Amino acid sequence: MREAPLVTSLYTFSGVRILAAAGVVLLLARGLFLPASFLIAVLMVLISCRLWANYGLHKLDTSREAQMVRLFPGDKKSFPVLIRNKKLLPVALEVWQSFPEGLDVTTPDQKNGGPDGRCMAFLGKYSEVFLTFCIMGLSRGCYMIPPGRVISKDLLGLFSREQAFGRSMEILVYPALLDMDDRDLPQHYLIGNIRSERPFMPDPTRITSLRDYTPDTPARLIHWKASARHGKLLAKVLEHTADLRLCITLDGDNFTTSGNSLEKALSVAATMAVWADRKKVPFGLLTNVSQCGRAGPVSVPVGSGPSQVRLALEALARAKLPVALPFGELLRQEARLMPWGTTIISIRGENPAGTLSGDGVRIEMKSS
Amino acid sequence: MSNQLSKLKENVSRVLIGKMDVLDLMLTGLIARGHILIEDVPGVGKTLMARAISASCHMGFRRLQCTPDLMPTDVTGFFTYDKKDGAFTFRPGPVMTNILLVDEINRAVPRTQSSLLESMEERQATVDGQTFPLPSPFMVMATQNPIEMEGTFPLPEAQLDRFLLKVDMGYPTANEEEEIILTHGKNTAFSDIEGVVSEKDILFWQEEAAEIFVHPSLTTYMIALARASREHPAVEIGASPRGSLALFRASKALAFIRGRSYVIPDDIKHLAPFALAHRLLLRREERYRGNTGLAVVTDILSGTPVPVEDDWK
Repeated sequence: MREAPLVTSLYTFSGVRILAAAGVVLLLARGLFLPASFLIAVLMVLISCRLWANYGLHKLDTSREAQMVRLFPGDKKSFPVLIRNKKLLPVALEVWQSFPEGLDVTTPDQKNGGPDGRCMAFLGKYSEVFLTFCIMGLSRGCYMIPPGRVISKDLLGLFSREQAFGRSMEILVYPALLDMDDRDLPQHYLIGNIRSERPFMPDPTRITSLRDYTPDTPARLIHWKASARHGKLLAKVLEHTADLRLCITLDGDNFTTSGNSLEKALSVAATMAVWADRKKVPFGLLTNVSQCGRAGPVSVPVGSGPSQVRLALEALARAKLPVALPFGELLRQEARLMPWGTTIISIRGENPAGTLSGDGVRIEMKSS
Repeated sequence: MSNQLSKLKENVSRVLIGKMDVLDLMLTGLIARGHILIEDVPGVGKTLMARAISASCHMGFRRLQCTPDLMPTDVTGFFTYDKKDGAFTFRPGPVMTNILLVDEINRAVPRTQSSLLESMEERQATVDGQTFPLPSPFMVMATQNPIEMEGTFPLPEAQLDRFLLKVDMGYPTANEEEEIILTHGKNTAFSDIEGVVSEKDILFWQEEAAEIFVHPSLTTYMIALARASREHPAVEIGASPRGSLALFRASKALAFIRGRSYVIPDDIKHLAPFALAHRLLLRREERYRGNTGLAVVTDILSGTPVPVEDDWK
C-alpha cells in the first residue's frame, strides 16, 4: 500500500498555509482584528479539510478479487471491491479502477460512475460498501488489471490523498468457440484419414480383464492360474499399445499480422481442444506464437486431465505475434517428447478454395 | 479418552511435521467410519501420514501399491486349488484388514478401482459369489497425485462419492520444512512410532462420536448446503444424499475430536469443503473457466444462512 498526497488546489502546498498564518500574525500585530478573524476562519477550514483528507485513509480496508479471471467472449463477470471504514470519521472517497481496452466495464452506479471505472462512495462511521464492477470480455486476449486507487477527499475538494489497493491481476479472454457443425471439416476425418503403417498391437503386459477361452484364441493368451482357480479355461484380454492421441498445432509463421485470420485460427484450435475433451481424447497443443506474460512458445503436452482444456485455452488466450521461434524448429524439439501414434492436426494460415471455412484457415491431419 | 487421542496425535507428529489440521481430518474420517482420499503433489507426506496413523494403532494394516496391471482379485483375494485337500481355499487379499493404504489409486485401472466399491460401502468383499465380511474398524486411506501422467485413470464419480473426505496436504512452511529435514535426515524417524491405541479404542470412539448431539437446525443447515450444491449454476451434478450424510457424520466426529458433546456450525463450515467439493461435477464451461468444486462450496457456504443461537431455542 502506498499513500501519496495529490495536488488538487493551491492550498495543497503547505507554504500557502504558512503564508496565511504569517498574514494572521501580521494583521493582529497591526490591530486589524476583523480581517485577521476572517483569515483565521479560512485557515481553520483549510486545516480541517486537510486533516479530514489525511485521516480519511486511516483504518480504511480495501480489498478486491485477486485471482485470475477467465472468460469466453461475451461472458460477464462481477468484480467486487470491498471498502470498509473502521473509524468514527466519515469519509468521502473516489474509487478508481482502470480497465484495459477490450473489456466492457459497467461501473457499480452508472449515475455516479464513468466509463473509466471511476465512482464515488460516501462511508459513514464503521460502515462498508461493496462496489461491483461488471466486466464483459469483448475480444480474445490477456488483459492486465492494475491495482485500484482510492482517493480520500474533503467536502470542498481542496485536499486529497491517494492509496493503491490490490495487486495486478490478469483477465484472460479465451478465443470464441466455433460450432463444429457449421465447419465443412468432415468430422469422421478429424482423427486422421491416413492409416498408420504400424497397427495398434495388444500389449501382453497390460491385462485388462479375463474372458472365456474360445478355440480361435492363441494358447499364449490363456491365463493358467485363473483357469486353475475357476476350473475352466480363461483367456487374457489385453490393452493396446497405443491409444488415440491428438496434437493440435498452429503455425504462426503463416500469419504476418494479428488480424482476423489469426483469431479464426486460434478459435479453430480452441474448438478442437474442446471437441477432444468432450470425446475424452487425449490431446496437446503446440504453436510457435509467443505468449503474453509468459516466455517461449505454446506447448501443452498431450494429456487428458481435467485441467487440459483450461491450459490449452489459457495458452491460446495469451497467444500473440510475432512468433517465438520457427515452427519447424519447435516441431523438431517437441516431436521427441510426443507419444508414439499421435495424430497431428495442423492449422495453417492459408486460404485455398474450398477449405475449412473460407476464413483464411486451413487444417491438415497427419498420423505420426 | 481425549488423553489417548492426544497420545495418538503426538505419536503421529513425531514423523509428520506440522499438518495437524490434516491429521484432525484423517482422524475425523477414522472416527466417522469413513474413508479418506489424500490428493497432492508427490513428496508432501501423503503416504507417510497414512503409514504413521496406521502404525500408531494396534490394528491390521495392509498396503496396496496400485499399478495398471493390478487386478481386482489382487485386492479382494481369490480361491486357489489345494491339491492336498482337493478343494478350493480362499486366499484373502489386502482388503481384509483394518486400515488399507491404497497408494496412488489412480494408477489402477477402473475395474480394479471399482473392486473397492463394495468393500468401502458395505464393508464386505464378494469373490466368486461368496461374500466375506471385512474386519471392524475398516478404513481405506487412498492417495493420488493431481498431476496428469501417462498410465493414470481418474477415479469415477461413484468411487469419489465413497470417500467421506478428500484432503489436500499442501506444502509445509519454511520452518516446518527445516524440521522435516532435521527429523527425516537420519532415516530413523519412523522407528520412533509405536502403537498407542487399540482396535477397541477406535471402536469405542466411533460409538461415542455417533452419540454426539446435532441440533435439528444444524441438520437443516447441512441439507441446505447439499441442496444448494445441486442448484448452483456452475454445477452439473451436485452432492448426493450420501454427501450430506458424510457431512453429518464427519461433523459429529470432529466435535468429538475437539472435545465437545455437540456439533456447532463452525464444525460444518470447516468440513464442508472436504466433504462436498469432490462430489460435485462441474459444468464443462465452468471447468474451462478454471472454476473448482472447492470454489463452489466456498461460494455456497458464503450464501447459505448459518443457524444462529436463536434458532436453537
